Amino acid sequence: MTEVADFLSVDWDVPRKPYPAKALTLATGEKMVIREASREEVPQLLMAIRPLLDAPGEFYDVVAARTYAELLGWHRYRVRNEYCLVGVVDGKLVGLVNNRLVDKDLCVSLHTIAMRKGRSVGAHLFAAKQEHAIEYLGVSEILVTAESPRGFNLLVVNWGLEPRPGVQHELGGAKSWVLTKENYYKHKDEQVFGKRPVPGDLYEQSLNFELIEPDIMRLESD
Amino acid sequence: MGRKVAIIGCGMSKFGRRDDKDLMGLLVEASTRSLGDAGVGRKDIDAVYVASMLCGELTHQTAIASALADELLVLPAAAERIENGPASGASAVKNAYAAVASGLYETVLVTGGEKMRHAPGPIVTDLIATITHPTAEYVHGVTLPSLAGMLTRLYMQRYGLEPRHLALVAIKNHNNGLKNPYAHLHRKITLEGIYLEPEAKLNNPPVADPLRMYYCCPITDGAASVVITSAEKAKKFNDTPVTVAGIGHATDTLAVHEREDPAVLKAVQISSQRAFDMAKSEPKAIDVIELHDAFEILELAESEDAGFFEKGTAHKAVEEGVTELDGDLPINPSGGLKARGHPVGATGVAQIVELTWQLRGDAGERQVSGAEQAYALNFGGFGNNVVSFVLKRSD
Amino acid sequence: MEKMTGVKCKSCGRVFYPKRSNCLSCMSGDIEEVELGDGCKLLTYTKLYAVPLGVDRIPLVLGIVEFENGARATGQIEADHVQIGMQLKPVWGHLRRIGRMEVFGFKFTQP
Repeated sequence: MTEVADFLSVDWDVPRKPYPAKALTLATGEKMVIREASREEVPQLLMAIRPLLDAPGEFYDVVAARTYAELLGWHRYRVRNEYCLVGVVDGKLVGLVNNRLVDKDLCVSLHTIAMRKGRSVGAHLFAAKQEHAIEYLGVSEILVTAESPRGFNLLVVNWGLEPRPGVQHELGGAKSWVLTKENYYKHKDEQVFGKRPVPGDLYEQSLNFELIEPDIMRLESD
Repeated sequence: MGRKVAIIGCGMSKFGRRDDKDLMGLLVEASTRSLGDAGVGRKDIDAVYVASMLCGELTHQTAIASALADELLVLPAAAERIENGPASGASAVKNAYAAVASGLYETVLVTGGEKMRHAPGPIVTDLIATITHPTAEYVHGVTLPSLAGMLTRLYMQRYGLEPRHLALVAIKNHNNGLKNPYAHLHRKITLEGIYLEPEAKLNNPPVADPLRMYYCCPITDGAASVVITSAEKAKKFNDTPVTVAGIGHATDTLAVHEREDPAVLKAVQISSQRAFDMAKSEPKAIDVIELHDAFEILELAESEDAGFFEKGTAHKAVEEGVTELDGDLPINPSGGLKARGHPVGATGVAQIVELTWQLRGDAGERQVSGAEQAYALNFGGFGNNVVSFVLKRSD
Repeated sequence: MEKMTGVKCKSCGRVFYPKRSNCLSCMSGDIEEVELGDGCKLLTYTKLYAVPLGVDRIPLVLGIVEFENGARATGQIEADHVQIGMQLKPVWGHLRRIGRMEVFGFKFTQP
């Protein structure tokens, strides 16, 4: 039987390392700032996600429901080692991504939500969270899965994801894939972009973002 | 060629992702606008032609022309669906022209429409791929973008085309689209964002390399409509009706690899020649053009093979700004298929709608000043079934 | 072993693929089946990322090849460094799925 004191002395938290913000140019010429979101910003992020719980397609509703739970859990200290990055364009929240560390070597890639579709917002944010995990948090592998098969095949090709059939991704009931550190660096030049540091005023503007109506909720859109 | 034929009314729906309406709703949106613009009543319509390539496959409704006649209450007018792949729209206008020119009908409504955004992309791509050769192309996984990709690579190798030129065409069309309230995409794009910056690789991912996402048109819902009648009668409706001066229709081998020269769009050459012959006109006389840029390489190749530029030089003209709205020869003032969008059956009709507005002086911010003669090209199959028009402003 | 065959016009000598009942050049119906041989060169190609339903490989390389006898064909290209002008040979293989049917045909690989 383990000593209670020994049990309490185990450090479950992996030391948090920040994600240095970066900025990149979208197809429209607009600059997107990708920065880490703080725990304090979660209530705003939940408000941004809420409308998507009724989203009509592409599993946005499932993704929204799960991401809502993840962020809420993180906010209320029920989930350890979770990180969230946000994409902000012109002071508006256009997307968010989240990850969770199992331990210092293994990261579980959780979700990617793009409020603005078809602008590569999701692709850039996905790349950024893996950049954070491998290059800043120092993990060796990232477990990846996806609700929507459509974009996922491309993800497998673009990142060289390897199947990991023995492992259950915590999202459960779906195939597990792995992004190894080796494959991350192999594909980095084609997938990870952005310049640091972010110019002062651009960074300032990204701090207090406004929420926009997600494209998928609009009856008429691009 | 029988009676002279004129366009007395035109209109279109907003193009885009239209979850607010079904296909019939879009056809009605466009038709009521063109009928209203023409100032004709229900009883005046003798025939309805509806252009739609995939209404059966994508909306589970086939006799769409009968349905539109019923919906618009133009019964007992004649009604027919015209299908010619991506050239369905132009073919419908052509058939309506023939009916009026021959005296069979007096006043005809032509509406083209498509509802496509509700279906998954791979399914739409696959359905459109069925216009390719079944055993020589389709079965190998060939899609329209792949054929355009192969054409692009040939152009790069033979004529020194660079991806940058495709980007310039896309940017021009997006800028024009911003001035078109009916266009699908109202999105400014920049050379930095889609080509120059390192992140352009992700912003503008490959579709059929060397073609990238921003060099290909979107999948769109929408409808466009025109009302045509004899030029004689047209004077009652309009002081300066737009006459259909020339039509040219030509075919080529089904399989792209069997074309005499896969980089030359022979059917475009012949169709264009036929249209100019009938109109007793020539490319030099044209003031404004609508081309079928399902892929931006096609705007370049079509402009050459239709007779406006020497083969292999259109990309240089683009660099010089010749085809901009304020250039010497504006191409795709509407934004083209790239920005206006491409609801397959609607496109050919939408081109005629834009040119009618241009020739009337009603094109708003997109107006090409002093437009008197216009040219449209609707590209069916992958260049093996091409319909082109020469329209003239009749004073 | 499967051999890729086309047809040859006995009147004017033109060879083409796929089969037709009349010659593209001279319209003659006097045609016979011929083997296209093992040597062809790549005229143009594309790397398709937006693959259709039923194709599992991304990217799918497609190209147009030209045989020594002048016949041309379109098909999947399986080679390491694809470039215009390279020599290829036809091989029989799995192409894609259409519905629930697996489809086989000729694709082109390095000789």
